[in-house]
Amino acid sequence: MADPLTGRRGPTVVIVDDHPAIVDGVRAWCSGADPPIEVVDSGNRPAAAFAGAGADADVVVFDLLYGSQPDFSSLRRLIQAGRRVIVYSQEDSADTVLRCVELGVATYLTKSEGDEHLVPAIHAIAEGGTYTGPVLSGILAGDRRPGRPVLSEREREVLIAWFECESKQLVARRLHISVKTVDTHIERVRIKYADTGRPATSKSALMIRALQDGIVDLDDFDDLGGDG
Amino acid sequence: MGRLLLRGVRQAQSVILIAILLLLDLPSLLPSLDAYSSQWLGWLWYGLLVAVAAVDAVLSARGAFWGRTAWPVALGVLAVSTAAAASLPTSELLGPAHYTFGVVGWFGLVLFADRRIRTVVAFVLLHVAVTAALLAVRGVLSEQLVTLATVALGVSSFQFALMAATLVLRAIAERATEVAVAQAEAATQEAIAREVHTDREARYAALRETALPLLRGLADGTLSPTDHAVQRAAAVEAARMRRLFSEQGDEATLLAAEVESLVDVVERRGVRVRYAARPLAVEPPPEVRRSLVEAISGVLLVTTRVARVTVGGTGRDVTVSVVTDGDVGGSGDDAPGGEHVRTSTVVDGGRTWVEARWLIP
Repeated sequence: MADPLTGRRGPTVVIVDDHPAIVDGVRAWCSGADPPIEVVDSGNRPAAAFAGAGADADVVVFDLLYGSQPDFSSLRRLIQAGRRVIVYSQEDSADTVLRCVELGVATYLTKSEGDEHLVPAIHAIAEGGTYTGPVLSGILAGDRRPGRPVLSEREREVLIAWFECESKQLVARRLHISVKTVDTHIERVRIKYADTGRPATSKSALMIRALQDGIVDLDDFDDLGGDG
Repeated sequence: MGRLLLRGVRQAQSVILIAILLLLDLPSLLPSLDAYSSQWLGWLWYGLLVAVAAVDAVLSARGAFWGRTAWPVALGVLAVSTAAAASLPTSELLGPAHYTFGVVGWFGLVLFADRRIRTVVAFVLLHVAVTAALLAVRGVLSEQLVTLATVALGVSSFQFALMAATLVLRAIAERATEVAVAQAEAATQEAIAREVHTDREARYAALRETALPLLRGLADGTLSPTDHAVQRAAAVEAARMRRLFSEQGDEATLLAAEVESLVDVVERRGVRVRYAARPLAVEPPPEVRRSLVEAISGVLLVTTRVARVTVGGTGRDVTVSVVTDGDVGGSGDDAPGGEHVRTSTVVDGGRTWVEARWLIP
């Protein structure tokens, strides 16, 4: 949708969710966003994201649960098709969230996280960036699986603080760093996770972006040890 | 303990069987090898019996039984005994060369060690019947009947005596097991009850130190219910009592449960709480749990509008945290730290953030 005053085109999304109230709510948040987000289609089955207007949407807002079963196979097909997927689900178990992160979702937000997280997430991800909400942050901080990426003390501190206070200003104030540095730490963690079990395409995209933003330089790539 | 006793009986039976084969039957066999239709047959029957006894010794040492293979092996032993008898001349039957007649019953004992006694008796009777049939075929049953009965009775009485002893031991073992289990159960219950009691006593003691002076002050008018600090102290004590009364033995000891009970208190006052809890790497011990909850309860209980409350942590620490956007008066600096629990407070833009952190030792 082109803004009549500035000519800026907002991002497009397709919503896959079997609860009409959620679809309507997300639609309302999108139309009130700045810049506005255009909902090109919605449906209660993943097909809405594969065919019709939804097939070309910048971002897929995807409810993982249909009934009580998580639909990992549709999620995998979307990611393999190169789509940027935000899982927006009421499910918040660490197992499910970490599995989605490993499949390569752009981010995972729980339905307890409202427009203050979903709207910035859509904006960031439509532009090829990442967004890490407080719940995902708390789960990454508490990840104790063998083979998980090694996080620095500072990174863990930032993740847990962001989970606790839901305010990057407060995190920055408490750790005596800038808000930008808070974002940098979180982004670094996402790159480390991208390096373990992510499809190469989204992985290299993240790497290139991290290079452009100056979050990492070429020397760091030896440490990361990835093939991207 | 009962298990140990039964295992001892089982092993004793196996040892008896091997002792009989080596010390009683081998000396009987050696001088009478010539009686067998050929010497190697005598060795073959003996070898087969020793082999079964050896397998039994291994099973017995491992505390195992023959189970479903008991009957096939028992019939095999019976066949060996019958074949051995058949390869002897009639004159040697029921004599020293026919040693297998005496040992088969002992095999019955070990093979059916886990069965009822009547199975062993049936097996022994079957063996006597087969031997009687062999005597009948040789046409000497009527003249040997008394010898057969005497020998069978003589040999079997030892075996039945051991069976009776086993029965008694088995009953004792079962009783011993029951008693041991009951004792362990009682000891565990007692330990739990003692733990809960100590914990409650400690909490009541803490209440006496803090709640009583407050109540006394309110009663004699030295403290005013309209005073903000008094209201806050009262809210803290009320939440403490609530936690104390809600504790159910070993069940409700989780940190998250205590924090949730605090959240309940403030939500009933109309405060909107955004609460999130993540699984913890380690459940903190009770005194640490108390320090963590106390550290955030002060600021949480005076919240008037919105609060973010979390329980979480990394693999190395456990944290509880409260962010409020109200004026919390006096911040949370005076929150008791407690051992190993560090509290940090950040005030920024009208918000107050208190985090209590316990480093997992």
